[in-house]
Amino acid sequence: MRIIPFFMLNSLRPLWLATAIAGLVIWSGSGCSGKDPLIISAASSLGPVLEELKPAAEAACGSRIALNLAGSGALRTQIESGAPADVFIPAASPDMDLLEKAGLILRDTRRDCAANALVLVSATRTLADGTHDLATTLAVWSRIAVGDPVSAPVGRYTTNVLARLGLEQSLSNKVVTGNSVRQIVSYIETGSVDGGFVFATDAQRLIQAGKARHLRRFTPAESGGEVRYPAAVLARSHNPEAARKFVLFLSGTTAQAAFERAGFTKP
Amino acid sequence: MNLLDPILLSLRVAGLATVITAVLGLFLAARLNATRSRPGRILAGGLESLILAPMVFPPTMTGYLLLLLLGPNGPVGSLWGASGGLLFSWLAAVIASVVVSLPLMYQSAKTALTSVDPHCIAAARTLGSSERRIFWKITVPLAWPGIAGGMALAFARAIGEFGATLMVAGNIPGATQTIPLALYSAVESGNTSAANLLLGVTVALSFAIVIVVRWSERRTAASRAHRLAGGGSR
Amino acid sequence: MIQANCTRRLPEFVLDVSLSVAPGETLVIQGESGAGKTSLLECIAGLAAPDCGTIIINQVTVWSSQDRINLSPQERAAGFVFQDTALFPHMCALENVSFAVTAGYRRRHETVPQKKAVAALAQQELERLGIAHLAHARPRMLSGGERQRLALARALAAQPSVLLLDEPFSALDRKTREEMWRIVRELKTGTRLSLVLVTHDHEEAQVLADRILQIDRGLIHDDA
Repeated sequence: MRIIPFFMLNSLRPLWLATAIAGLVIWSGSGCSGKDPLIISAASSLGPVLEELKPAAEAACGSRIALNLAGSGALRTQIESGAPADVFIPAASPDMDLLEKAGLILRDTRRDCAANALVLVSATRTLADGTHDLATTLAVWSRIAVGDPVSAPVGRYTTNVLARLGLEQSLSNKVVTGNSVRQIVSYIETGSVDGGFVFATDAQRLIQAGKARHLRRFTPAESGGEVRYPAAVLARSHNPEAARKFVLFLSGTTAQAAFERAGFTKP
Repeated sequence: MNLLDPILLSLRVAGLATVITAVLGLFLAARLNATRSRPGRILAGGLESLILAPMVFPPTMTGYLLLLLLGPNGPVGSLWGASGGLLFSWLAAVIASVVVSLPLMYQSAKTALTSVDPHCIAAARTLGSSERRIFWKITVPLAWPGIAGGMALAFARAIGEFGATLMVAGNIPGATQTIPLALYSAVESGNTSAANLLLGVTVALSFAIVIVVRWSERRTAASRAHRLAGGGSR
Repeated sequence: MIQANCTRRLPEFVLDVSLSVAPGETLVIQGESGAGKTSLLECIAGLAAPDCGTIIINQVTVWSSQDRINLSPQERAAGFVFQDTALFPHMCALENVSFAVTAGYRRRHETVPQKKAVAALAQQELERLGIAHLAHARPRMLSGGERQRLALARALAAQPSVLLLDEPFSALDRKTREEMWRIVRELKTGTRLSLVLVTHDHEEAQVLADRILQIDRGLIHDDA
């Protein structure tokens, strides 16, 4: 069908050109294929480590790997709706527990592949005095970033810590809430807050970049449970053998060393 | 991080989505606003609300609905042979982009079509020309600047689409990771140099789009001015 | 020829028409602006629908409230020249007329000749109206008189059986208007084309008409 009449050819030359280029791009790019890769639906915070481990992991499980990185909740919703993933690695146990209850994972394959800890850091421009105790330090701060306990896993642990230390009341008017740990990191990076609660891995990156100082690391007892990254093969995996190998690989020495370099701890 | 993949993929997804949106939006705008009968108008009104709904929905909500629709148990996904329905394919990204950009195209096309001088169309009718020929030879060319502007907006919306795409197409580098998703991953993993580069590309693209939109606005204004100046009184 | 007996409710009064135009005759309808002149022409051409009555063009009933007949403007073959010319602004003069030539062939269900032949026919039409040298100009480049000539050329190119002119010359200056009167009279000689022209200009009516009817607040009755 001739959409644009002949007499408009002249006046529309730039648009024709754009359309032609768009057409070329559309068809040039459609050549990616090969055998179906293993799809690893993992929490975004694991992205850099998994990206680094990809070649070794592909060799170990004999299949190509594709990472699908998003928030743990979004990944869970995708899997519940039947999205074709093979392995699930959320940043918190509850998302995995829900899938386990729904029978969507192979129960015997579930294992924690990394752990993290809650850490309090101060922004560089804020003077952090290590001699005082936590309550005294926080008393002079005017703004502190914490995660939203509903949408960000880091917020749940932070709420536990604040409750256990009896600081909830005194901090309530200083708190700036972030929807994800990434948002808290941005607040600290830009110096918008005096400090904040983040995971050890985030703290390590902030400190290495010279944007923050380490103040205190909380024990699992203080934060109400260990921060774990569970991994499991999904029941609908199209290649469960390779997926199993991938989950095992994550517990192996190569993977564990990479996790450790990124600031994670052994589960 | 490979940055060429997301850029090419984004252009491919947004390009195809724009073509589909343009044809669909133009067709719907012409069809729904030509209906005169009362039940027809009620039906058209309902359909119009449906088309415009994604403008009001938060993108993740649109994404969730699409997830149900395109998933292996959904009405559309189950027709698609593959095990995961249409999910996690670049076509899913195209569908998400079409759904969110259609309201912009529809609205622009509707405005453009109604701004065409009705006397020109009446004249073509009295000459004996068929409605189809009038549409392609008179209406569309006269509405073209507005249609092109709508296409540019639709392309812009498709290029920037994030929420719904993340849900239905996933964020798989090299397969479904578009510019906004790569940007999200780069920020999330603290890869500032990649993030800045992608930001630069996005800014360049948006500049190009703004130029097209401004051109189409100028053309529309010019043709309107011409009609007022040269067309005589009505 | 045209036979119209119909009524149509308008916002301020009722259009009440009873008239007939013989083949080859020029009927001028004269009346104040807002007397329903345009509305009457639109009813004949099929651009608007009356409420009741009948309209017959060349023995074909094109509208009848009783028999529920309502032919489209396309099927009525009534040429229409608008006061504002309604030329296609994106086409040059030749393309405007070519469009009409093609439309005419399609309407008569005849095979449309090749593009070159269509253009030649269109060029002839432009020559007849004395604007052949402007074939490649867009409407906005033309003067008011040239635009009206082009609008006439376009309407005639579709070979209508009746021609309806809605105050076509009222926006023109005196000299150009007289020129247009001459052209219309020349066009009419020797054809069986029925012509209905509405105007508020008494002199125009005198010059062009075979017969003049007055329209007043929608009421127009032909006693002939």
